[in-house]
Amino acid sequence: MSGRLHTLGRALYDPASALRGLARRLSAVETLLGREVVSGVRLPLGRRLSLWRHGFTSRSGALFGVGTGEYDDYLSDYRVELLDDLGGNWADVPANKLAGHLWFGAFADRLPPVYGVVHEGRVLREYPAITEPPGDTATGGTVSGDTTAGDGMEPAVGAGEWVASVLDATGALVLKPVYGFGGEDVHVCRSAGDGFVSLDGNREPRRAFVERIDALSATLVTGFVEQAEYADRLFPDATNTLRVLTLWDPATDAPFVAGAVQRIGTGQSAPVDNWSRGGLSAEVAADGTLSPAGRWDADAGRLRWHETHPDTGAQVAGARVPDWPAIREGVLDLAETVPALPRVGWDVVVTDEGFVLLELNAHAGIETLQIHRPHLADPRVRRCYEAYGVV
Amino acid sequence: MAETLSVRLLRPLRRRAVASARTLGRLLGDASTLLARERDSFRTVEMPLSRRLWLWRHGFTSRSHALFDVTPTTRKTYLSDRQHERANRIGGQWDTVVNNKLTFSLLFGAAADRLPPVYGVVHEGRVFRDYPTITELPGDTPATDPPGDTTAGDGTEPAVGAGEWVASVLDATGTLVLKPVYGSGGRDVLVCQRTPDGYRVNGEAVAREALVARVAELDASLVTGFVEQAEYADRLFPDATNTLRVLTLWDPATDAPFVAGVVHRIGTRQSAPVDNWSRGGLSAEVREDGTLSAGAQWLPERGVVRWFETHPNTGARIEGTPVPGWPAIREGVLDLAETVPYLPRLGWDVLPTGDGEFVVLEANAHAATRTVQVHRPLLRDDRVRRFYEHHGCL
Repeated sequence: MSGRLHTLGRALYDPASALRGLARRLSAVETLLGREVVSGVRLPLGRRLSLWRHGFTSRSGALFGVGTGEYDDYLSDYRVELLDDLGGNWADVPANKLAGHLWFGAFADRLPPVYGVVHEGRVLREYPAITEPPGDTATGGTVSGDTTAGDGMEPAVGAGEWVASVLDATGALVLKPVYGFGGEDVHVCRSAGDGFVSLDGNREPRRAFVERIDALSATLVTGFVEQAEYADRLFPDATNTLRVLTLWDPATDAPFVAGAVQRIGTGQSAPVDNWSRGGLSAEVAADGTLSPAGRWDADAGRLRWHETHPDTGAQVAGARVPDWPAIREGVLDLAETVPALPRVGWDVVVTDEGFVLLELNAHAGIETLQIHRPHLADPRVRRCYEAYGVV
Repeated sequence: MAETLSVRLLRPLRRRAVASARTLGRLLGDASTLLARERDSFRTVEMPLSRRLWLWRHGFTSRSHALFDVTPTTRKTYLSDRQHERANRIGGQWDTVVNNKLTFSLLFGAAADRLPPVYGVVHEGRVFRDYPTITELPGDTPATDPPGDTTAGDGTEPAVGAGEWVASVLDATGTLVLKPVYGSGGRDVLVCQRTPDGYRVNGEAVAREALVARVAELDASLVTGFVEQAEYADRLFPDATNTLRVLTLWDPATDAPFVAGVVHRIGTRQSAPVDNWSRGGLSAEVREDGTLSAGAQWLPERGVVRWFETHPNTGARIEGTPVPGWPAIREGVLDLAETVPYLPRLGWDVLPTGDGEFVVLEANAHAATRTVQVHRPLLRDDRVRRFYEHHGCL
């Protein structure tokens, strides 16, 4: 009651802030409502109501099998939405993949090469931590207007021609929207010879490829990172990344790994491995061993488990992430440099040399972790969320 | 596709609900901003109720009455408060990159000679320097590490906390500026100086222990070098950093940026050590030939604007004073703006350091336009009008 009085009092005293609070709550409800409507999950009404009352959508009910008496051990959808405020403005920084790259630019050996940004036909390369393309790549200029090359030596070319020439020199590239989510519009490009380019495995004429690039808005042009052999064996047609969730523990004033899963692409998700696009999630145990992999079957509205990869038949359960303890420490070294973000999901690809950070996410989802175990069952994890004010 | 009937039936409904919620959220956000602004000036700016209602109806808050010459014939030449709020959505999420002063310095880090040196970030007692554009530390600055960690960076010297570290960098450089990574209007900026007999923070003498303690408590603040302003700026008012505010817009017709307006901000005793208009600083227009107009000062508590041909504190001449090398500065800022086409509207805080020389202290994607419009309505310029029309703000 006093809470309500307080809210009312604030609305009268500070209508602007009350309106902002209302806008935020509306946005959270909108998100959950939207997810609920399209979940396609069939559950009895009584079960649905019980889930809703505890802040879970029907989809989470189907994914986690959370039952009466267990609600408290799981991080609910509503609580995850509340987490959006964690880190304040800082949480917006890694949402921009260029900013994320620049932020960790001092750890050059932990990042994929970034050759530039293409935006509406232009090539933008005037950033720190930018990689020089190999060989005799054409100088990127702008499609219209600017006719002088950066170094005044060669005629400048538009974004499409430039990317095509970098592709000729490197053999493979990845294009990623600066603002992108869930692997959407990420493309793996390879030279296919004879005036052709392979885009996500489909051959297309170089001219069509150039036009496609010229039409892109703010897209990062990055090198293709070769994954370690174990990952290639699991599923070779996608980059299979680890999702490592770090939390900043207020008690020790240091980050720790609160959970890690191996994401594995499928025929459906390729060339990416995203869970939301039909990828698999296997839990990484302390010794680096993988659990069976879960996968959301959207058509049936339920979770399915796989001991072996559904497309390649490769053994998933019991497979090992090589040098996992070293990878975990390496991720923690990165996490230690960003105390402003107490909760980060790190997408790293394991390579023969160690690992490379593909991106970090300040609004990391919890589904891929929580299908394996209730997130809040670990007292240390719960203590963190209590300190963040969401539990 | 085994989609349930209910999903198919509900999808359009959901789409509409989402769109409405988003629009409502945006309207509420804009309304709250305008409401907050109105609350600030409602009581101080006096006018008849009918005039106030007329201003509101046309998207202006009460302070516009004092700041601009808004009449039924001129009102369409001014960018209103409501139109300005709409313009804040131009550039989408990219604004978050320049609003953060650390990522701003990284984004423009390739133009290192146009930025002040950044020695590190201090945050809750720790020092962070693992960034690609970080400036080398002068001389024998001690190693730092998080408190509790006993190993120094290079293992040879004892590590110190953020306060001790800043004090020792200050010993070597003589002057430093500490700025919150997220901050606006010059709030919480600390100008620190090493003097022969101690330390000064924003002009006030402090003991080393006090400086150390104060720095140790800071949240995410950039530790940057102090850049000396050009001599003419120092003459105007020596106790503040007097910057140019250059508003660049990306012209959709020519596919290139242009300067839509530029004012010289000049600090006063009220605003020192910064020059911000919202803190009592002056705004003088930089005219085409690079000379300054008279300076305007906004007195929020009285709701009036005062004009000065000479500086109210130093007596230095403002009106007619040239900004040395202004055309070169303008071109230099446009060169930077050209590298960020995804940020079509930016307010650059530019510190002239010599004839045609400058550094950029920060850029603002939500740059206020009142310091410009107090001199001239923005939309009178066709190119400016075209820009705001193109982005659906008018």
